[in-house]
Amino acid sequence: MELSPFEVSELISAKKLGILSDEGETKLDHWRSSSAHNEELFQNLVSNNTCEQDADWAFSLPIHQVIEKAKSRITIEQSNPFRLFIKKYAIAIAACTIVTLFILLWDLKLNHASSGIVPGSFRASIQLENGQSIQLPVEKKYFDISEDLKEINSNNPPKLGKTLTISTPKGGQYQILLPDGSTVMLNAASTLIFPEEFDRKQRRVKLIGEAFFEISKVKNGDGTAVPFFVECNEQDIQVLGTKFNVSSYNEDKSTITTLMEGSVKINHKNTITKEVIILKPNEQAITTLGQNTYKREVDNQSDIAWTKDQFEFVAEPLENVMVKLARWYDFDFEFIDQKLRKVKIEGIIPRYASAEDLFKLLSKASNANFIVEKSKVKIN
Amino acid sequence: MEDALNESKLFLAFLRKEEKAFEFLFYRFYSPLCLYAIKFNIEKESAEEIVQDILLKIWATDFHFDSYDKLKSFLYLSTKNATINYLDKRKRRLTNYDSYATQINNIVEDDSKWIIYAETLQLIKNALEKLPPQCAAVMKLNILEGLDTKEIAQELNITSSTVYTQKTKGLTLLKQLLDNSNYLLVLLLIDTLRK
Repeated sequence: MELSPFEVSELISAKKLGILSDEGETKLDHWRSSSAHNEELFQNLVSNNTCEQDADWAFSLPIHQVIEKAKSRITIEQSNPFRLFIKKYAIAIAACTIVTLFILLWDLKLNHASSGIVPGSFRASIQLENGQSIQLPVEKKYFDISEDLKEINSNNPPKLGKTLTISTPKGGQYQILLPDGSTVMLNAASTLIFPEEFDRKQRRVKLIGEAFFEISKVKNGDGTAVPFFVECNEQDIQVLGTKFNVSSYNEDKSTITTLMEGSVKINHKNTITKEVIILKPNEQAITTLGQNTYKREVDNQSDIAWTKDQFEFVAEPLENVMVKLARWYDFDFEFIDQKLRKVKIEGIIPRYASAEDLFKLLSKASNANFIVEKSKVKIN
Repeated sequence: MEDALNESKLFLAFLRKEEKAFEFLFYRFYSPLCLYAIKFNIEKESAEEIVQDILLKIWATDFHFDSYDKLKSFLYLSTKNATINYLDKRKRRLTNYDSYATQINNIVEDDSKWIIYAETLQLIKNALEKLPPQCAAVMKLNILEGLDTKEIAQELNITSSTVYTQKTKGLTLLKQLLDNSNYLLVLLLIDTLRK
């Protein structure tokens, strides 16, 4: 049986302190007799010259001061909202260790440069059942179904079973106030389909893309709570009253539901097993096309960072980062150097950073070049 | 000695990035990693910088460690790699490649003995810090410097019988620590928070 250096250290230190158990003694004897080097090392350590100069130096270092210094380095990076930091690490081929990681502080410049790529804004359109499509006002930022619908649709009173569709383009987001008081924040390139008036027994909407839901509790006349369902590609999500984020873009091949408050029940669609998953706050359920749903804990807020006007990436491959950025900044991209797809990006970027700043930052973090040609970005 | 820490709350605290775990990381690993680094013949200041960077990096990234031992191995391996990197960079400024070659030889040579050396001293230091001050002073002279009862009495200006009592007390306390793993853990936590 091979002992790790750490196990050996435990045995020798206990031996030196005079508190080694009989069992430990046997293990240590076995290790000592297995090689001459081991025995020599043991003798050196138990003899009393271990308090040599180097050790004296190492064990009298002012650790307290080092910690204070290190802490201030961390807090500077976290507390200044006008600075960006991005960390990048790549995995070395031989040893799985960090090759480079740099945290860079960089003042966000507010001048929007000349390139054709700009961050998204509050843009969406509503499609009525008769097929008519209307742009929603840019300056308003949210659409209240029970109030604002009358204005654009005055000659048709709300009716049960009538379906409305609100869609955001690439580079758009919009907030929707549903007739039951729930709000839905729709991210870029997403569609929400919902009835003009909800059924009494259940509320049901359909989502393609990403949205943050704040669902209010609604009770029936007899006091029973009315469930709210979100139907999307791979999951059927059932809640009573909670906050949660759902990301279910067609091209992402997986649906991720992240719960912030309350609890949600997820019915896996398209499987024979009819598996049901219950999420607690800070848990997420991931369903990938053709696979089972699994649940995991998340301590970071990266999935809902977009609702706070930020992108947050936690060790995310550059190709995923680009997909998310492209949706918001509305551009196409192409990897010239395929290896760059896998470079891991970590950090926070404001969603309203100019494209110039954005690519400058990303190229510093990934060592890649971002060549912008009109609305196409080449990564090299 | 450290079985108590295995899969322990502190390790969990580390995974959850709690502040006390940040301090623990430095109190537990800073000295032994610095000691390990200078065994590759680099200057003490550089060793300190390298180790600080490594501890900060490990804090800032989301690597997952499924055991405390893996975290320890990773820290020593990172220190070794960073030291080699550092020597590599400096090599370009050297005119004498012999000394570089010796240094690299030192590294290639089984380095686990230096891990054992640094870790053993750290564990002893950890244990001694748990003892009351006078008791710790006696035990330190006895264990690390190999002084006998008479010499210790002289050094600390106390009577031989006090030395004897403190030695017995120290041994009993250490055994208790070993027996009661939770106690060790609690002590370690209190220590970390108090400093």
